[in-house]
Amino acid sequence: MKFLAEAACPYCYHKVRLTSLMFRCSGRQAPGRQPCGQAVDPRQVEYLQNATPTLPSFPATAKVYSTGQRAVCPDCGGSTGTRVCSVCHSVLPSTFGDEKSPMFGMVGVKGSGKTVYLTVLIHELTTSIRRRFGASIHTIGESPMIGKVKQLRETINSGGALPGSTTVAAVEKKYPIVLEWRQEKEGLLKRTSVSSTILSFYDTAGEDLQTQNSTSSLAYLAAADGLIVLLDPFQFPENIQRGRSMGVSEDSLDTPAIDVISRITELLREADSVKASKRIKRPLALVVSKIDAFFDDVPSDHAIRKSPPKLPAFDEAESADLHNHVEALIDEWGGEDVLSLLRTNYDNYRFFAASALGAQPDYRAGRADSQGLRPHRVAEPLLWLMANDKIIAKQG
Amino acid sequence: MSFRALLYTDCRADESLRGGTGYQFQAASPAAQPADEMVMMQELMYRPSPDLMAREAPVSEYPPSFAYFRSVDGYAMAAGIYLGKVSGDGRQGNQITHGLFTDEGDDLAGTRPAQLFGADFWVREKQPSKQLPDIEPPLLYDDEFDLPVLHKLATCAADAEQFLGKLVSAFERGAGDTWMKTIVSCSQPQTALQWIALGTLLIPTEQALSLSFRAFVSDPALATQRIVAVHPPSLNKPPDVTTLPAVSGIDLDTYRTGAIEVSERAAFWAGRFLHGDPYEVLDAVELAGRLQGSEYANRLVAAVAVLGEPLSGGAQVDAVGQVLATFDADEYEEFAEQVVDAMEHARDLGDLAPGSFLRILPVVQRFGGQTSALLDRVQTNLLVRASASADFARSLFVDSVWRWTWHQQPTDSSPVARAVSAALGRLESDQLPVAFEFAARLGLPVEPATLRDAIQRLAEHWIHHPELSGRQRTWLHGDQVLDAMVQGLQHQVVTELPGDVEAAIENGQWDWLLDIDWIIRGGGPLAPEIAGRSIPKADAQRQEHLIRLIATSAGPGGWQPLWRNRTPGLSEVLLWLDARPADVSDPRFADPAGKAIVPAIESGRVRADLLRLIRDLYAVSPDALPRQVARIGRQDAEVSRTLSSMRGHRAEPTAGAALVATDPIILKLRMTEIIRSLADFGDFETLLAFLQKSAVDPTEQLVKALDARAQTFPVETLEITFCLLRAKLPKSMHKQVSAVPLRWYESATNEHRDNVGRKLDREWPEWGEIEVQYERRNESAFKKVGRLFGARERER
Repeated sequence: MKFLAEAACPYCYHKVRLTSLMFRCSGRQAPGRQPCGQAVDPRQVEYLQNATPTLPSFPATAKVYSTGQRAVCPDCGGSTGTRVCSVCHSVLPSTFGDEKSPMFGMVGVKGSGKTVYLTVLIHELTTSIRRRFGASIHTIGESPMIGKVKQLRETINSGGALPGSTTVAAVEKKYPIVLEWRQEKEGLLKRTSVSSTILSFYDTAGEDLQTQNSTSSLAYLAAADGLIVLLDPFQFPENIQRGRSMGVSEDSLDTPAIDVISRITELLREADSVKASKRIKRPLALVVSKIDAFFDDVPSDHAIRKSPPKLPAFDEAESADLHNHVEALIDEWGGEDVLSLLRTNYDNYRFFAASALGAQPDYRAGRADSQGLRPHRVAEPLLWLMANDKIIAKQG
Repeated sequence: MSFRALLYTDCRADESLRGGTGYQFQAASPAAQPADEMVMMQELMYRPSPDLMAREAPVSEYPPSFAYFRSVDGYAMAAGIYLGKVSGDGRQGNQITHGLFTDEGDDLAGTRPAQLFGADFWVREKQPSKQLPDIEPPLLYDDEFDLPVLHKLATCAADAEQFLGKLVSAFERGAGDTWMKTIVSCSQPQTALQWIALGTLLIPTEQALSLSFRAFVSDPALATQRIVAVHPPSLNKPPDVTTLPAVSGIDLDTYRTGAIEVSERAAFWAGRFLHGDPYEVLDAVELAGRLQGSEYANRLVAAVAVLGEPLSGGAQVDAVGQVLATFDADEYEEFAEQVVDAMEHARDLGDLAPGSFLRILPVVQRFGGQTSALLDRVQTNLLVRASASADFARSLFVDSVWRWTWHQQPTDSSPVARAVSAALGRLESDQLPVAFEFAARLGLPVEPATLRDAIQRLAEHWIHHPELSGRQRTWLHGDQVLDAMVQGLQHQVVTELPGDVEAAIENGQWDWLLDIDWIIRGGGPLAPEIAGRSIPKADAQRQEHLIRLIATSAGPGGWQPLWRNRTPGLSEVLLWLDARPADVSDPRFADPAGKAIVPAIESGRVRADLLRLIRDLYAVSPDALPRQVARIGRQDAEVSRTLSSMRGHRAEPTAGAALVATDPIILKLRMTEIIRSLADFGDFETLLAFLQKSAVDPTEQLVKALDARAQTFPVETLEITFCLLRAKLPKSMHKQVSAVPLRWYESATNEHRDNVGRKLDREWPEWGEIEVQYERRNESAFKKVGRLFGARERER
């Protein structure tokens, strides 16, 4: 177990000192005392635009050095072990601070499929990936996004409507989705222990990336340990006409992929204070989404059509091979400028090809394929980021 | 100031304000600011129901949105409608929202934002141009939001008064720093906004405009607005808002609510709104919100001033008075008269305190002028109430620091003057000092005759409370009270002094009365009584002052109060006689005077004037004198008789021995007289007997007598002298007597010397020695003469 001095809150992304965490009253008062009531927490309103009445949060009188520590509510005298972020007052996972808890942001231009991708990724993590790694992966916390994602997945899976355009961050503050990944780990002397990692995902609106100003306002990107960048294949020059013929929205075709990568690059350089002569070290997983639309263009044994390995580890060799193939495809689609930009600005980036739906939707009707979801390589970008962070093992 | 405007919807790059695609600001008015965009994005934007989108509901099922946001800097509101699919995208979620912004609350002109729902000025479709017009106030609302319609809506509700009270109470709790969210549920968007409008109309404008609201939301718990509305048909599982914890839930479809406690304020206005004139009630609500008093008091004032409601009970009058005291000029101008009228005519004022009216006097003076009819009215009201209630009067007189001024000076027969008399008449004696002080400040012509009883009672009270002395100068008719008090004291002195009064006199608490001329000149018994008790403790100066003061105005026996229970000091007696010498002839004076003299006799400190006093006293009343004094008087009389006999040459030869037996005090004081008489008497034996036995040394007087007599009768005197020098005299006396012949010789002319010498030469050898010594002109020789005479005598 590592002892961290501070960690980023998976909800508000502020770094908080683990010795300064606060507690939320349990609502069970000490004998003879009045119970605490629920009320709007101004911090929740300020940071998460959440005015749901909650029990009061209070700082612990003693410093917190370990998980499981309890505190006594100064108002009702009740004992509580519910720790909350000292900034946004969100309830933290019980294992928060035990291990590194990376946060992964997801960005992409409007219409690149972020919401669908995230919806499917969450489902994949809690089902097939969980089985593949023998891990316990589940959503935790109070995020209202959990229910929404579940509802979306059910709608899409039944061949229903695709999700509406995601609201701009400034319009509707969205909660991140937080998952806990618990897995047995073999340590020194072959002794096993359980490690716990908190994963936090944040969905953005495509409009947020359309201008430099709104991009800059997405502070969470700066706090992310790794970024999954969704690239819409129809936004590469050679595919625009094809997208248009398939009924892809003109709006979605408006923003070239190079613009998105370029804005993200500026943001990361600013956030990490990277000099112009240096490359960005933060890992960037570039996912060409909706890849199923191009399956017919490549042989059946092409890397992008292959199913991902079933090993309980990240297959580095296989991923590198896919990277090369995707790079070649992008070059073919007229994305040489994108490749050039990435080469000159990033130390660590990897291309992936994925399809959240597994089959082309009816773009004009905004409906998913009636056969339901057949996700393809959705989790690979995340696994690469986790392997980079040594949360899961690498192979090959 | 006009309203700035923004329009937001999904648009193409060429349509949007900034050239972007997707959800963008499509148009803006010229004055629109960047900050408006942020407010619109965060607080006002249309949010389609996820449930409706999931079930791909037709656009017509989506409710319109209406949101209002109060920021630190201004006021913003927006109306939005759902448009269906995003153009060219196929996905749902498109909408259009039109926002209006202003920095001035006055631009809303008393209209509640919710009333603007459905108004004609809202833009509902993408604009051909990127420019919107600014909108000039006032914003006109739809007829459905006019007050009569809202009033009808409220009266039709089940248990209307209670329901409206809860709605308003819930909204009230949404204001302020510690607030509780109100969640209303309503299937009809317009109805929801009508109720929000109605509820906020029954809250003062400033408070109402602090209540941000949003209709409609899918996640009411999460929403940050103070009031949020849910639209059940838009949700797959609409919440029962009446059961949500820690929020005020109101179901407008069924008139059910969660546990909402109706506030006093809400109940107050809800009832009046439903049963009265709704326009007037809203005016009253507004006025109550503007006033500076407590919430309760503001309501009362508003109800009085706008709705013409009466007041009842002292508490209400007091509360109203508190608010009136805070009126500004406009409020005073508009409402003061009505409010004062209501205060004056309030019912059940048994518990009224004068403070209720007193506190409004300054504001009446501030805005109505130094004097005014209204000020007279309020002042008169206070005094009339005081005349009717002792408790009220007491409070008024004790608490009031008001400087009373009158617009129209009342006469002594005016009701207000009579009220003062009556009020004073009602008070207990112990309350009168403050009351008279207060009455003096009123500046009213209250005749003393109308206050006779109160003055008498105050005087009586004062007699027993000498600590009030000095305050009479601040009392109404203080001179009359003093007069009555002095008369009372005089009476008690004459009859019987109560213990506390006597103690006060003893302690000098009434001494100040002795400084009042008319009390002294009046010659009553009070001043001597006070002085008599004061003198023993006074210093010498004060004693003299007091004794002279009393003596100058006293009649026969006037000393008696001074020395009634004590022996006066000798100085007091002498001072008294100095002022009233005739009293020495009063037989009654002998007793105190004699007692005062005794210590002087016993200590031997008797001077000539005292002996004269003893002589006078003895002559008047020898039996009334103390024994010691009488003895001195008697012996003095005997000495006088003996000396008189000597001067008549009728004395017995034993007279000298008899004089020797006289008290030394008398001898000392009358020695000159005795010696002179003895010398004149001419009997050497009598003189020698006295000189040899006198208890008091008579040398000095003897020498003086001989020196004086020698100038007239030198031969006889020198013969007596030579005889004395030959007799057995005390040494010092002998020495001084021996100088008498030499002094005479020196002062005499030769002719005198020759004449005397011729008569003395034959018998007195001492004479020859005088001549010899004088010839030597040697002072030391003169001294030797004495010794010579002594030697000769001794030889003989």
